[in-house]
Amino acid sequence: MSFRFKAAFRYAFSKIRGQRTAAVMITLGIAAGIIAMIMVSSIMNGLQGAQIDRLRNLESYDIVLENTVLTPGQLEQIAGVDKAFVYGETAVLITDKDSLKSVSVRLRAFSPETLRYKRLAENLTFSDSLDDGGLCLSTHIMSSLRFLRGDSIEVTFLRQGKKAAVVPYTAEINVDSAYVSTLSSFSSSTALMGLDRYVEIMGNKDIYTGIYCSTSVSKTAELIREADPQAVITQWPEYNRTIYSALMLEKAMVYVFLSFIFLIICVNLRNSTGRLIDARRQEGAMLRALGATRKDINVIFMSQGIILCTAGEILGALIGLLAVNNIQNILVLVDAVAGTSIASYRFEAFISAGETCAILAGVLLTATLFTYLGCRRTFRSEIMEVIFNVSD
Amino acid sequence: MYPIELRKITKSFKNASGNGELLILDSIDLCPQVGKSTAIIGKSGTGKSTLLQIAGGLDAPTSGSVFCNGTDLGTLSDSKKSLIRNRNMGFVFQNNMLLEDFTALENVMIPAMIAGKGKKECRDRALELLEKLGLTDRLDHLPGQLSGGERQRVAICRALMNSPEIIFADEPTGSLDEENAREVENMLFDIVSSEKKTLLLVTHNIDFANRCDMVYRLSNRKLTLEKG
Repeated sequence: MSFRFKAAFRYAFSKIRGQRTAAVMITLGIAAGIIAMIMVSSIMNGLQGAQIDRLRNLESYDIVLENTVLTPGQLEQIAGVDKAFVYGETAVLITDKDSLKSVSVRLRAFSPETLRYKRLAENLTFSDSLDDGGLCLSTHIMSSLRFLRGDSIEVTFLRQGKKAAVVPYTAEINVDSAYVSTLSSFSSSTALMGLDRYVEIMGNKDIYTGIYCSTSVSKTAELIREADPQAVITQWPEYNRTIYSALMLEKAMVYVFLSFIFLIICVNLRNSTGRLIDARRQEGAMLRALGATRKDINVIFMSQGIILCTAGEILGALIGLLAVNNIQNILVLVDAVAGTSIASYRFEAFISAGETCAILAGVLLTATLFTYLGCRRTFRSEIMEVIFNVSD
Repeated sequence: MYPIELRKITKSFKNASGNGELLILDSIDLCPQVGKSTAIIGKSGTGKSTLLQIAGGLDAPTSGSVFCNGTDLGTLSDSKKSLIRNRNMGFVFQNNMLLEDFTALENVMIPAMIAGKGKKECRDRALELLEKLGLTDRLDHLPGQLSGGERQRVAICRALMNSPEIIFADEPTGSLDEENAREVENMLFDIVSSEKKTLLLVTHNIDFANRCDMVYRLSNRKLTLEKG
């Protein structure tokens, strides 16, 4: 090993008290930065992955119409419309009369004909046929509230009032059936009921027309707009794209914020390295008196910075990746300490090898640059400006 | 040619206020004899150390030239000057300036390691010097574990490591007690004489200076010969 690197190693892992403390602080600072970057990236990847998967798997209507004057039959005459259904959708509160336990669910109301449509029928399995007047709950709600088929439960709606904008209305409805579905649009917190009963309770509030398209969604939407200019048209792919773009923007912004955090770490690194080097100025000058060139000294102190940075990176990467693999346990711990319930949302945090390498390389390059800036400033001066001799 | 030769050396510093200059050395000529010891004495603040540093290429004169074996140091790049310092010069400072993270043995080996010599060659030469100066039982000690006298002896070994032609010693016994100072003086003269080196010494200890072959006094910015 050349003298430069031997000296750099010795300085990086110095046994001198002040030096060792500064070196440990620099290493821990880098490690903390790496842990933060790996964990935030992994969590963002996990959350976005879950959201994007849901968006991609979302099997719902291609187009949703509000306030349309067209009937499903008229809509199906428009080119590109495969099937049109009227449905209702609102949030309700379901209460177990015995235990008084309540749960908020999304209630979707369909005509039986809608549920026989192939794109829904293939992905929905019912325990019993859905009676038009009853309620069908997901097996998850059934088991969590311990409902049995035939139970009469309280369902609280918010419907239009005569004097107030909305008033609560509680109805007793029988549980007729349970269902399971692979569709996100029929998640475990969704309840189903017949459209006629829904209209009986809610009137025309929260009534929509859902359309499945056989051809281009946007072209079909244009034709519907021509047929009913007053209707509010929402295209799902467009809506999904907006959410997807928002997620991507969110990820980019998180990286920007992480970069700011890392920039602050780098400025601190430069100052810490500067202090380390300042403490070594006399030794650096002495090495020059012994024949080392200015370049040698810069290489020694830059190597020292790189060694500390690498040590911090290895430590940070190990802890960061370990934390990512145990993220749910950490969230449970956070919940226990902070009294939150963030662990209830399950997701899989992950980071690719490429992303990890990019973070490590970026940190190393930035740290090297800032260490160089610290060295350049310190060793610009002449040897005797540094070696202070009191003999005169 | 001489290992070191100073011609018309002038050195001035800017006043603290920034206006005007303070003249320290005025047109000084000095040419230490090869294989002889030369001492520069004078009161504190007269510029003895500055003169030594200029001679060793550690500081630049305001005017005048320093020649090392006929080469003007002022015309050389940093790397060439460093090469000359490494091969032709050895330095012993008052506060020894050992590298605190390196053992006594490693401190002595440093000049040879900078020169790129092999580990075995470096180690053998360092062991030889440390043995001569009675430090064989202190090889693996860090400077912080050595006494003042031992540290200064390690510094002397380090100065001799690359067998330079000239040794610059700036108050080498200045921070030692009388007993240790006398011991270090003896060792310095013994080893310089046995290795046939040229010694340029700065001190305000007259007895120490008088053991040298030639003695110059620096006073009023001028150098005058007192002995030799």
